[in-house]
Amino acid sequence: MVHFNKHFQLPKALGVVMMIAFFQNSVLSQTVNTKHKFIYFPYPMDSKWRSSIGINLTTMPEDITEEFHYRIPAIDYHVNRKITNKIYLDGHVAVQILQNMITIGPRWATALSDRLSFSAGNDIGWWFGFVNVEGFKSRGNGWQNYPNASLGYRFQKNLFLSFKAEAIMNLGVQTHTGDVSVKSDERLFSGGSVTIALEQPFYKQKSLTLGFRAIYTNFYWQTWSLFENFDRNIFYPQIIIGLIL
Amino acid sequence: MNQKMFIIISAVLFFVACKKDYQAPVPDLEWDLFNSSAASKLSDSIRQKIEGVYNIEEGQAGFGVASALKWSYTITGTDTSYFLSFFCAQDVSYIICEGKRLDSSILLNGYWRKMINTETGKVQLTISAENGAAAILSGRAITSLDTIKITGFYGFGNGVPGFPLQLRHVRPINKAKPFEIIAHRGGGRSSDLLPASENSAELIRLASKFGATGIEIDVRLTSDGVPVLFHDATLNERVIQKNGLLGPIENYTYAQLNTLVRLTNGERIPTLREALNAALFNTPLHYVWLDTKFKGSIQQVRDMQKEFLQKSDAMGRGLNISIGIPDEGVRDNFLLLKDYAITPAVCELSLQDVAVTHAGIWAPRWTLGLQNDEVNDIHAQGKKAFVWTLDTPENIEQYISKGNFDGMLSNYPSVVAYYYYAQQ
Repeated sequence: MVHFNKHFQLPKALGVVMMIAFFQNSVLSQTVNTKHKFIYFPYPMDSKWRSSIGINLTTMPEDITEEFHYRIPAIDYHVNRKITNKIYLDGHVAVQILQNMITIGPRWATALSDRLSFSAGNDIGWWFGFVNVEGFKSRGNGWQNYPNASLGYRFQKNLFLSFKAEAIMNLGVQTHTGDVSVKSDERLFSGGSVTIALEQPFYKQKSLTLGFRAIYTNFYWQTWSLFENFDRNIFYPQIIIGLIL
Repeated sequence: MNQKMFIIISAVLFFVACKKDYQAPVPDLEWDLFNSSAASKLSDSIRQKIEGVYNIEEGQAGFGVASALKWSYTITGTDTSYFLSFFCAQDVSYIICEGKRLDSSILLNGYWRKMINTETGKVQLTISAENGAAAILSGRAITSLDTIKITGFYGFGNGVPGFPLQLRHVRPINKAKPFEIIAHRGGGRSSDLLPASENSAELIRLASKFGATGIEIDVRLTSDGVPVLFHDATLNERVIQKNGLLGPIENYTYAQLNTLVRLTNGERIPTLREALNAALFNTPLHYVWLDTKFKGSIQQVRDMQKEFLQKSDAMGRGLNISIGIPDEGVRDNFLLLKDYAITPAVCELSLQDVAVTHAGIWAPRWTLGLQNDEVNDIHAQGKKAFVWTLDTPENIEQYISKGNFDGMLSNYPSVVAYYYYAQQ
């Protein structure tokens, strides 16, 4: 019996998001107090900029790293820039020095009720890395695309809960090892991820983001240097911690 | 509302956080026509005429544009089973069939697999009399005027094959320059969902079906000094079934491991002797790379290497066995052997270390590039160069077409076999 689903559970996750939205009777749009700070929460921006800095920790699966279970932290800078009332740009930089990724994409966000809000967007990402130590002369880079949708729920006490679902589209990987360069084919359905993020006041005027992201993908950019070929989605749990500036 | 939402979100998180259990079991290979009493085994000469490079005329979506077909065999007791392997580049796919003659046709019955995922299924193929079987079954040699066409169907899982597959012979397989196709860990990793666990005697018996002409196996010592095959530094669920045992394999006696530990597919951890017996007596493999994963004296491994080389010579089998030198510690222990200068070895260190150890094979890591100048230097010394461990098909193609290596270690020997045998 073959247990394989190339197309991941993303449609189901998105379905849940949409179902919650439809269950809301009230679609009154009410303003969230501007003193509240959040960056994952999908809501129209009232300030020009907002940003956060923190770390994300992704556990590498044994299918890829075998006996070595490691979790290398990436410095995580997240920034939003307001464009119009309901549209903003979402930018993200993850830095591990030897491998790094930058994503950017537009978001359309709207309030569905006084507590519920929703956003949809699409991020394009580029990663690059290099390993030049004993036994390795490798570098690589690649493009990824992430269509996404988020649902947010505001609790009474400045507590913002966000649920984000996104598809992962691998637009190709180029690697160089010594004098050999190769480009791998794109995989448009390369998996997806769901994120749950909690945002709340933390210290003085600062707020904190605590998040968990469940990534199911056949290629995760932080594993490029292992040159794996798997076309089955593997689970990468990720912890997100951020200080909203 | 809050409760509802928490329940929904919790349920979604629980759902997405569950780890998938991937499997790719070999399908049931029942085919009444193939198993009928009227079908008979193929002779050596008939089998040889089927080998070759074939264009795939139907079924390219599944297997790509071409395939290299080559026979291998497994010996069990006095019985020898022959298998025709179809090596394809696309999605690291292969087909493994047995062949029989039925009247004036040749039947090929087996299964296919894509190593990059879990897709697999049945394959039922025929070479009819008019599509070349008449020429193959005749006593004469095949010429370029003969057309050999293999037609039939493949399916998914245990489903009835219903997708057309058609291949046409275009040329003989390349054998111009000898090239060692070395399967990692006895045939591949457990994470590739093969029918047997990595570093098991069962997998060694399958390796040549996947295209391997040689194997690399990982050797460790138990606490009572028995050389066994095991890759990881500690017992863990990546390679063994859950049993509560922890820690380095070197902490356990062979009897304890034999009694309490089973590999992921249920096999016992094999001793080095069992592994070498499998390679020598059950397969056509002609190279074994013993990757030394332990510290301390390697005299016992050297003695076993010598014993099996003598057995191979006595049988006329031509099996070569090299002791791996992966690091300076093993190199120093290797140099303590009285006869190190004549001990067949494969050295992963510098060219200087190759010279010091008198290793016959230099084995650099592939991530350093082709290193053609260094490989040419090694050739000038009458030695060989094997590169490790390449798994990306695009890189395998580049290293075979542009490199000067004499062999390649891979978890996907079928891809190496395709690019080597299909080379013009």
